[in-house]
Amino acid sequence: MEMEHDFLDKYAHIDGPVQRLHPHPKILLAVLTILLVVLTSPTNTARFAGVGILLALTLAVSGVPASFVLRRSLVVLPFVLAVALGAPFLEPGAGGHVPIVAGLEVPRAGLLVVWNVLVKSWLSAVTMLLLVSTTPFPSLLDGARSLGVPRIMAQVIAFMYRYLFIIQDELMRLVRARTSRSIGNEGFLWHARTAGGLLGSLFIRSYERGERVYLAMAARGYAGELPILERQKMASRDVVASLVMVLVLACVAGVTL
Amino acid sequence: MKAVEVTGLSYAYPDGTRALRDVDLCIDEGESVALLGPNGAGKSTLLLHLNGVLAVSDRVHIGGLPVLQENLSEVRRRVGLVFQDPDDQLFSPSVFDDVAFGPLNLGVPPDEVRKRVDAALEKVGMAGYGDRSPFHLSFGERKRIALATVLSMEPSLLVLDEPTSNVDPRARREIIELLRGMGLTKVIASHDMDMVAELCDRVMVLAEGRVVADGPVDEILTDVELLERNGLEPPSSVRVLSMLGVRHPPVVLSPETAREARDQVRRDGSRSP
Repeated sequence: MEMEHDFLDKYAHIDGPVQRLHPHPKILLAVLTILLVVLTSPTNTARFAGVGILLALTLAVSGVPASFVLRRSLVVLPFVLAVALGAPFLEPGAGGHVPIVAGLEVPRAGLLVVWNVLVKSWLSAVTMLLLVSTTPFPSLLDGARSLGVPRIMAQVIAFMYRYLFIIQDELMRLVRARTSRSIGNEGFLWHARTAGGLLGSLFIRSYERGERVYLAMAARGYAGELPILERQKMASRDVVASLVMVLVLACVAGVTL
Repeated sequence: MKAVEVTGLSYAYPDGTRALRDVDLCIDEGESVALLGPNGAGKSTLLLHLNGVLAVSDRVHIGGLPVLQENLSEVRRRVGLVFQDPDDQLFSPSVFDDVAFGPLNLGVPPDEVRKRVDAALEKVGMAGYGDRSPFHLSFGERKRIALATVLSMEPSLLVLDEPTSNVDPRARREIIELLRGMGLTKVIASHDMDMVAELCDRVMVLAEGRVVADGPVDEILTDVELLERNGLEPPSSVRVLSMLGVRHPPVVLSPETAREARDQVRRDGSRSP
């Protein structure tokens, strides 16, 4: 009856060294890596390669299937394509034109822009995907909250994470019930009209669920503040591991200066 | 002291629907009481009054303490209210957070909270599920976690709204055995007559916001006429055995009670209709 949902943190619960690392340093490391990638000149391929190798090693150690991360990293492609569409119209500048296929020439500067966007967004996406697929979502939220994300934001995201799929299931049931009463040749107008009804009823259901959730929270003593309990204490090996990782990142940055 | 004492409680929803009319209810420590009645009879409304989430009223006493604003924290500690839909009760991104929610609200220190979470999960047979997300779990598992979220508050009274609705037979059996093993005072609203017969010693019937019957389980559940008048049905074993002319049909069938019923039918067979 319920849909198979695709969870980003599906592999966050396997026992691996990356999964065991405390979420705070993990988030900071991911942010550092992304900063390093973004601040690198597009011609510095050695550094991109270095970061790529680091990410590949982390991925291998984590036990998360490479296909899981790689498939999701394709999410950057539409953005790169959008940039690529503009590339042929850039000022050729000093680099002149580069022939791509017969009859089509692209300015070298344009190619560089596309490459810049492609490699940076892809490496950043892989970094983020590694982070979220090796950290259970609640720990990620905990980490984000103690690293300064406003509490109310964290709460809203937590509720979204919890109820998004439930509401999606509810919508699916509504649509299925509509389909089972239609004969299949309804036009656009029919769909538009009934979609309004569906959304209305989804809204009411969600609203009522919100009230019930609140009652259930109040029944357990909720008084307007969500209490937090940090689930994982920072251990010395977290500090050591993070420092080592920062050092490795710094080496990659330094060697490819 | 009475575990629950309700005297002359009435309640109308803001839209004017009168959900409870002059309800009296007295429950002793250790009793298991079932609340029966058709949909809309006021069962859930009554349950919500037991820990003051719908309204506070000094007509409701929990362990001698009136359910008033100044006692709410203690009342909510004492009364563990388990909702029908576990997706309403489990709102946190992880099982651990949900089970820890109650104790943290009560100001229990962190180390003690961790202990209580482990103990509560252990009690419902879900030890080690703390890091999981509620939607990774089956419906029956979510029902059990919902129970754990109130057990961690160490309540003296368990209030359950339809604990066996929507679960498959195996999960239903697990929930029944779990509840049976808990020595707490229980109030259970349900349509599951067989579960009520197994778990409760006393039954109250609500109709249109009023208590229309209150008595021992084998008395109420065998009163076919009373049940049908209030839109209910006796357990199927009771229906079959009373059709066969058994005079005091057992509400729970066991090999022993079934044999007794058979012997009675054989003995009196010629006289039965």
